[in-house]
Amino acid sequence: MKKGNDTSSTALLGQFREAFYLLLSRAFSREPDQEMLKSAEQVSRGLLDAWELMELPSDPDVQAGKTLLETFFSELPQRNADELIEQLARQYAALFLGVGPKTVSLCESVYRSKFGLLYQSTLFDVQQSYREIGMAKSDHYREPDDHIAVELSYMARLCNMTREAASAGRAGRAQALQHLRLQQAFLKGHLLQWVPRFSQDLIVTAPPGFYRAFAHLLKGYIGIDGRLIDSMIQELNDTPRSKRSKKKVSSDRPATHH
Amino acid sequence: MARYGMIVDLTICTGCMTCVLACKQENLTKPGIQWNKILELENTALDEITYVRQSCMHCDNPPCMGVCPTKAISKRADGIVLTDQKTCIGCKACIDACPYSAPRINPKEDYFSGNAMPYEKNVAPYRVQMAGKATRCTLCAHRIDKGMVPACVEGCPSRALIFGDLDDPKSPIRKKLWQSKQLLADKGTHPKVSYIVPKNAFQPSEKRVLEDK
Amino acid sequence: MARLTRRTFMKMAGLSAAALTMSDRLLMSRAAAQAGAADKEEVGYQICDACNGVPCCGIKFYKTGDIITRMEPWPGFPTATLCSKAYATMQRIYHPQRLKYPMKRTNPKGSPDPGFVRISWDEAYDITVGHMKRIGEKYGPHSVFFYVGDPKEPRAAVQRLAATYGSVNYGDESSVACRKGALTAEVLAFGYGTTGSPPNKDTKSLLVWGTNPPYSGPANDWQNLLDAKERGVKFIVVDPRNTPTATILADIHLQPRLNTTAALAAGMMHVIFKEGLHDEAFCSKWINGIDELKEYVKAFTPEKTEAITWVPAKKIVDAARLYAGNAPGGLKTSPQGTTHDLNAGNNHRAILMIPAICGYMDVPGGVEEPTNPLEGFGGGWANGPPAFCFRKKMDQMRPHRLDNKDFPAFAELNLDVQVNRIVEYIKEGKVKAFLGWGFNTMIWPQTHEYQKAIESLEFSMAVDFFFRPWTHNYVDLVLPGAVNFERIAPFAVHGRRLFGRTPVKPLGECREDWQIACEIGVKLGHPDIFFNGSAEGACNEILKLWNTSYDDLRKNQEKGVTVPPKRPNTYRKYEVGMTRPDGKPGFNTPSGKIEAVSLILKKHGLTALPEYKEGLKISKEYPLMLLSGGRVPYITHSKWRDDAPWLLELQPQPLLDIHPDDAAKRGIKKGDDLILKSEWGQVRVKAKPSVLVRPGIVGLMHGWAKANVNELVPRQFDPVTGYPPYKEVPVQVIKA
Repeated sequence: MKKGNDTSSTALLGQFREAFYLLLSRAFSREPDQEMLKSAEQVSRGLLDAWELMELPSDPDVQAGKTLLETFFSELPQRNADELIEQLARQYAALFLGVGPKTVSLCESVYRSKFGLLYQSTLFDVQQSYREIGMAKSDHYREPDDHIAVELSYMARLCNMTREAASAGRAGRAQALQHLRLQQAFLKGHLLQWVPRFSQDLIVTAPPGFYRAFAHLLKGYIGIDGRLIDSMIQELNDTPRSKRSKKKVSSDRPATHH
Repeated sequence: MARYGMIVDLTICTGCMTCVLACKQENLTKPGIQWNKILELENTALDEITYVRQSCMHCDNPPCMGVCPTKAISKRADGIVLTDQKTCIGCKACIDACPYSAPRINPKEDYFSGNAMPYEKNVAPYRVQMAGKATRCTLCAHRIDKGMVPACVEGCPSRALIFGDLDDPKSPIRKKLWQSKQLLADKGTHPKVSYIVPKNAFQPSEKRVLEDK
Repeated sequence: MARLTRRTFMKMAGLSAAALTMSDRLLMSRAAAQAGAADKEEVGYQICDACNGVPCCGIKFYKTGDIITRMEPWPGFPTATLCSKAYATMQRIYHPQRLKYPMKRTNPKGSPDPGFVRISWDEAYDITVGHMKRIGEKYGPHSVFFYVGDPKEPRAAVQRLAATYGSVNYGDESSVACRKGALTAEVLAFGYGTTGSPPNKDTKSLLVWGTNPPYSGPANDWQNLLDAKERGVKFIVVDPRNTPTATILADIHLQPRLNTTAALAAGMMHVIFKEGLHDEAFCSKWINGIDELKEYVKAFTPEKTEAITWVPAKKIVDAARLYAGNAPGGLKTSPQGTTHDLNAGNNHRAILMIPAICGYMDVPGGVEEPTNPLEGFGGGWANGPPAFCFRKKMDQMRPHRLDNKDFPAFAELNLDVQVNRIVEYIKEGKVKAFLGWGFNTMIWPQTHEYQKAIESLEFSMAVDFFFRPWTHNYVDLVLPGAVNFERIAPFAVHGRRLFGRTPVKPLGECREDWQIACEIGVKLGHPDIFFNGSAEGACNEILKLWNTSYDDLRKNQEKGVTVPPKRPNTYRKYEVGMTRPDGKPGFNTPSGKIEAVSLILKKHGLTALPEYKEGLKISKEYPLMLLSGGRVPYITHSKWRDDAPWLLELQPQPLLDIHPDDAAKRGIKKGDDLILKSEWGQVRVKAKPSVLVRPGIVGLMHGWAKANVNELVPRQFDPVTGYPPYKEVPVQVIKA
């Protein structure tokens, strides 16, 4: 991927990642409404264009999601707006709210084999992660702490905090690195432990359209975000290459440019 | 030092399965794993059904301990036989050795995909069940250490499970010991779980337990 | 770097802002969030709703924050300990498929996909109350049917709602198939309801008829029976099945052919009268129609009775002698098991006559009537406290009951409406809406007819824990109910002891049944009558009866609050005017006596004596008799399948109990796929050859969605109780 020698490309990547996480979070936090669909079209298109522009690694799931989304949004003008919102609400309910033939759970606890690394429930684990950055799940959101939308919004929050810290000079840089490491830890310790299986389940269960598209996007994005974080860490470290131990990247997809 | 054992009174066991569930809730065993299992023994001649509760017998001479290649199986001073899951390699030698068909191998699956049960902040070690490892009744050692009886004993609505210290003359288990018999005694295992069995059901019970793999 | 222009940055900033705007604020700063109670382990107390019985058993649980981690029996609780199903309530509470939000259908009824979507509680209530008001104005309030299925807990609150709204048509699973059939028979016979009393040190014999307590009742019940056995009480167990009750307790076990209850009872009474083992003084003074009864049972010689019931003559004689000859004898009947055939009412009445003629009524150790039932409680949550339930108002509206013509005796004696002909009432336009708490169309025979009927209504609403397509595909609204751990209402009542519950915060947006009923009442315009929607407020209204409150219950959490009895224990209360509400001596019946000849049945043109009536007949085509619903200890009705994998793995598929002889005749082995069929329907099941049933009888648990046994049961109803013949269906079994 394209790398810059100054922090501006890091800032760009940071904003990109934050927006991506927010988009994905909203896709799953609840049913779409008119406003959300409009924004989702704009944001997803913009981000997927930027993907190309920034020459991020190509990913078959991201590609599949992009295609499905393009089809979905292209058909939008012909659809009756209210009917479409209702259809999406039906799909959301059938997929996630227990009224369909196969319910796909949106919570990490259901997917993780118990006692992953820490012999502690993931629910309390992620609560702890949120607490460490001074946050907690909002009371008004009646889903558990380890709901995908909450976990994704945590990552978005960290991206935001990273960006603010990175723009605050040398001291901020250390903070930003810390935030990036937290993101890395959460990605590895949580998201990567269950999202691939969850999104695969959703790909298989959801009819082609909005939810299958986002399932692909989620799967693809989570798969490569580790490398994006890595590159940001590298940027911020600003250490000569030879002295830095290369982080092993657990992906079999080659980077397009090094 | 105490020597803990149990008497299972098959003359009043109704096959209600409460012990199976009390154990499962207490220990969060994996799908298909029943540390105490109820075998239904049909007697067509007598028109009777005997419910045989089968579990680890916590033998004084446990054949499983002898064959375990990694020494994962040990016997506490109070006689409780335990398998250390971390040391276990899932080789199934204990399964072959046990005449009571007690040990099983934990499956990979959980109930509800990844979640056997509700969330737990600090999962109690006795609730940790590792896939691929050998598992069996622990006599709720964690409860005994706190002065409580095993979950199945507490839960039995028929009071068919009697628990106590076999060496304590005042223990409730001693009062009924004379009525009880050990299953498959000829195997030399000296099981500390013994049975009060309806007259015609003794040999069939032994047979069922032996065959249940 | 050429590509990363200033424009790129600006565009990205724009995207970022747009993404932020569209996102939901799911995290908030921790200062605003509460501090972690989430670290301490705390104790809580609850009651179980797993078996649909009331009163319920006690659970003590441990939680961290609002998350429950483990449970155990509530120490010292009256029911002694728990059953397998209680433990499964722990697995249910966090089941990934629990309904968490109110749902509304968006596709028209009849569509293969009802298209449920999430709505808010406000919208759900607006829809419900909107229909209630509209339908009430257009068709009259009695056209809205209020129903409570399983658990029984919501009944009192729903009755209050029905009464306030102005509909007399409240029914429940007790009026369909559970308690009320037997209760009707008991009230016809004695003037009060009873399934007998626990045997005590004075009891010498016990007649256990059609019930298997270790599989169906609380632990203390069974332990009491075991203790009685140890004391030397003589047990006569009547059950077509070879249950543990029979195996462990019975001195004599009678296994009658299905639906021959009244004949067997008559056979026993024949012996008792003939050998002078009855209490002549009691009979002549206190049994109305005793001469007719004596005359009637004359024909039921042991030989004739054997021919009808298949019970060996000698056993009938021995059983009669054992019971009548070991005075006093007690009684233990099922709340409903002996009322699931086409002669339900009189079959059950016949049983009740036996202790009556022996003079065992309300003597120490006999069939004791409680001297001090909790005042104002109305007998239990299965009924509901009369004042709270606005019973007087409901009584005034009786002429509008749907079941008056079809089942006049039932309608006269019960607060709840007999629901089983609701298919017809709906077709006739008498019912336009149905509000059901925990209801399931599978309870009814020929389920598909009820599904169609409910589907045709202008409005229907269901409250449930899980989505059940066989019911919810036919309704308009599904509301998410709170499970037992999450409910505060009702409090537990055991005799004169009251216990409170410490609920955890419900999952998602689930609400408890009492709150839903009260909130609908508030939306209807009656905030005061419905405690502003507060379930605890409703409980406090009832607790006032005994000068206590929920706070008191909390203060005395583990031991509960005991309401001291008012009168000293008195026996033969009927002699001293303590049985009738008007204070006169006698029983609360039209004649003032126990009625062998029932004046109420006579009045309604029904058979006045508890006569045997031949029921559905076996034939060459259907040579076996199906007993459906015989208890399996880890299943209740349609619950405890996918919603509790711990229990489902004990019996993952519908198993047909079939006697090894009957199986062998058909070349059937354990595990074979079978077709079980009757004249009215068929299901696919798996074979379980077992001596649990006798030759000629097969047994299947109801409630399997993929093998709904009730499709085999005809829509024919006992004229006294209105109950269907769940335990009397001629069937054939073949390999699939």
